[in-house]
Amino acid sequence: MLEVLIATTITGIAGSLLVTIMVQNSGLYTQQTAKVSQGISLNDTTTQLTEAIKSASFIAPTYPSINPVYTTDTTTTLILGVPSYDSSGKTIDNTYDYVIFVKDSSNPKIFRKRVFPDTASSRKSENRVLLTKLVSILFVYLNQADAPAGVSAASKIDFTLNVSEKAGFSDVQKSSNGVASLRNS
Amino acid sequence: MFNLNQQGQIILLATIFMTLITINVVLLISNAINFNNNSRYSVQGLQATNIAEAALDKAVASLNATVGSYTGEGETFLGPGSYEVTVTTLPASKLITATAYIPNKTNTKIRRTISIQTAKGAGAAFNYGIQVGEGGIVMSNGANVDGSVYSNGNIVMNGNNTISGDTYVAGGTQPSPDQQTDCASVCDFQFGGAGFFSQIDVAQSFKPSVSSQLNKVSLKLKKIGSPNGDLRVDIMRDNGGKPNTSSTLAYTNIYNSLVSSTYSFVTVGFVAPAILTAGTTYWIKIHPDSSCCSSSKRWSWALDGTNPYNLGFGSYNNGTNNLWNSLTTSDFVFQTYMGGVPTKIIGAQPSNTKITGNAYANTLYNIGVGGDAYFQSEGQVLVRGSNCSTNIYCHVVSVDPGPATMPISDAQIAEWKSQTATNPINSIPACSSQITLGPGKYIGNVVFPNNCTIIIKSPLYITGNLTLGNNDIIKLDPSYGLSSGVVMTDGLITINPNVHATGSGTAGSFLMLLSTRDHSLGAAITVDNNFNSNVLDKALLYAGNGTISVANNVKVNEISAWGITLSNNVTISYDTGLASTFFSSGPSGAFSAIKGTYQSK
Repeated sequence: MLEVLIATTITGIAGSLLVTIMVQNSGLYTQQTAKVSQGISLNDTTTQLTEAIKSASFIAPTYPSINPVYTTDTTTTLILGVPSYDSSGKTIDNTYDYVIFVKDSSNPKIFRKRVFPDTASSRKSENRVLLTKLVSILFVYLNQADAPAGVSAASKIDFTLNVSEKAGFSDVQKSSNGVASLRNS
Repeated sequence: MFNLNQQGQIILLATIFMTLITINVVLLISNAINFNNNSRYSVQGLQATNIAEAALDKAVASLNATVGSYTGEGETFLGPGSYEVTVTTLPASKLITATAYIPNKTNTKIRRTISIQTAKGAGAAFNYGIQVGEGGIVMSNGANVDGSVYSNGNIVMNGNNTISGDTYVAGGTQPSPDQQTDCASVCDFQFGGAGFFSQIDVAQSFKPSVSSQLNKVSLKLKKIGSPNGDLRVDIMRDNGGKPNTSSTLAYTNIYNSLVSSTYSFVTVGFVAPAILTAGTTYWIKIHPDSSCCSSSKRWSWALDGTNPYNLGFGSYNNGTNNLWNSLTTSDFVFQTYMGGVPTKIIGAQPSNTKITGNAYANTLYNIGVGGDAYFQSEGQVLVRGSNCSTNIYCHVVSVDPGPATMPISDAQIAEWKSQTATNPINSIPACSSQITLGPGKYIGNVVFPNNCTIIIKSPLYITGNLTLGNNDIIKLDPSYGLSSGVVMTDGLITINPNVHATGSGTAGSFLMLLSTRDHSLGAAITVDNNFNSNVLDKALLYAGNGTISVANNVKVNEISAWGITLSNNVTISYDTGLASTFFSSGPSGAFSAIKGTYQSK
């Protein structure tokens, strides 16, 4: 009987320790996985934003210009006009595709990249989810002197992305910031 | 069958748990490695993009250095990677494609390709968004400038004004030349090499009458054919009757496009002027591009063989510094303009007349400066919130900024005008909705009604006034493609509300509205509300000898004038970076990237 009691106690202690380790390990796993996932998403989104801004000729106030669905602002939407190109990769004069980075209106945690090519363009249309845990975005429009400017006068864009998600018992947060110039402006 | 006394259950249990933990740890390590790889990929992608952009910059510089013969290069190592460049000749431009590899082409982990088109043309070099001559800028109450400014005259801020950028006011220049000579009869001295082998560099000595900074020089030049490259002008000390070529005191460039095919004075300023001593001999030396010339293209500096200037003489050499040949009885035609006239940026009070960037001027008074302040004297100035008594952001300097050269010379305008002489326009068609005009010359005034679209074929020269009605659209014909166009008047250009002016529609094409009206006759260009409100409008305003008066909500890509007046509550913004803009006619300029052609793949 004593042996059974000792064995049960040891088993209980060992089991508790193992369960504790298991729970903590799972928590660590969840948090670290969330951080890794956020970091990868932010890296990709920052690259996408930077390349699109560099290729842009102008920041469009709205898209489409008639009965607009999207409107450029500082907290939800950025509309970029980029030169269209033909099947040989040559730029088409006076023709632009529109690249839109927008916080999803139905689910504000989702940040999308949308591409609306001109009918003459060989650029492919795109509707891609970049982030699924978005908290906030901020676009600051700057002129050549790095001073804040209106959309029409901007030659650079300073962007900040904040993401957050529940991982275990705590929130995991990450942010990313970058500045890019409109090389085709 | 089932033995309750069997031993080892704990080990079994522990093994299961340890297996699960091990799996978790392995997954964690795997994720960490994945994140590390992703981050490294992002960093290397950025490095590759930067290397490719650096390669593009180098390619443009190489095109200019080799007068367009650069064809690219094979794998060249730079920093953490390598790049290669190809140059493809297109009908009106050159396509430069730069590909960067990390770490190298053989073992590529990351590759980025960026392409851009370059072209050359008249190459007017617009280096500042707003460039102003001796007339300076007057900002009425509430007027603002969104960007940097370079002014050769005073900037007066009357209250509630902000200039959002660096602001330069050059030291004032004496109105008349300190030293000068001109040519009375035949005066040709061709130089540049290729047929004139011993006449490569040319120089003229002079002695200033006052001790002061030399702000600018005017040289009487012309080109024969289309020589390549720009001319470099050096101010040098004397070394036993010849230029001391190891002692350059100041230098500047004469852009190729500023010189025409007939003799005219080309004036260039020194942004970093030299301080000269009265009665001491100095030299003005001109050095052409090494591949400028051939038997059909070269430069010429007017030379008077009657020895009209007795404080100096001309000289030339064969490109080797010490082999100078003196022309002791001849003088090259020149004028020197000394500084010493105080100029200033003057505000109403530091709290409401502000410069957000750095401020450079002889005198700063009653303004707030957000960056650093550079001056010879100041009063009631707040720099980063403090006065200048013990402020490390206040810099007392001994030399004022030199005057900047206006981007288009009178000679170039004259050449554009001469091109229109063979295409007289006898009448202006009535405009009900749209008309096409030019190229050519119209004698008289032109008034367009409201809501008219005017398609311009460049160059268009109107000898009188030009009035654009409300809501008019004036744009360059689409066939001009990458090139820009110009509408010139000798009179007043009046731009009524809501006018749009733009280039051909191709990115990088602009329409320039240019008036040669002198400031003594009143404004040269008046711009009313909401000019170029569309983001795609692309216009340049130019009045090298006159004033431009600007009303509210005006957007321009570049504005250059002798003087600028901003009305109450005006905000003027502009696009910068028009290092060169190419016109469909005129002499050749340098290669430069064409906006709108940058592509990343």
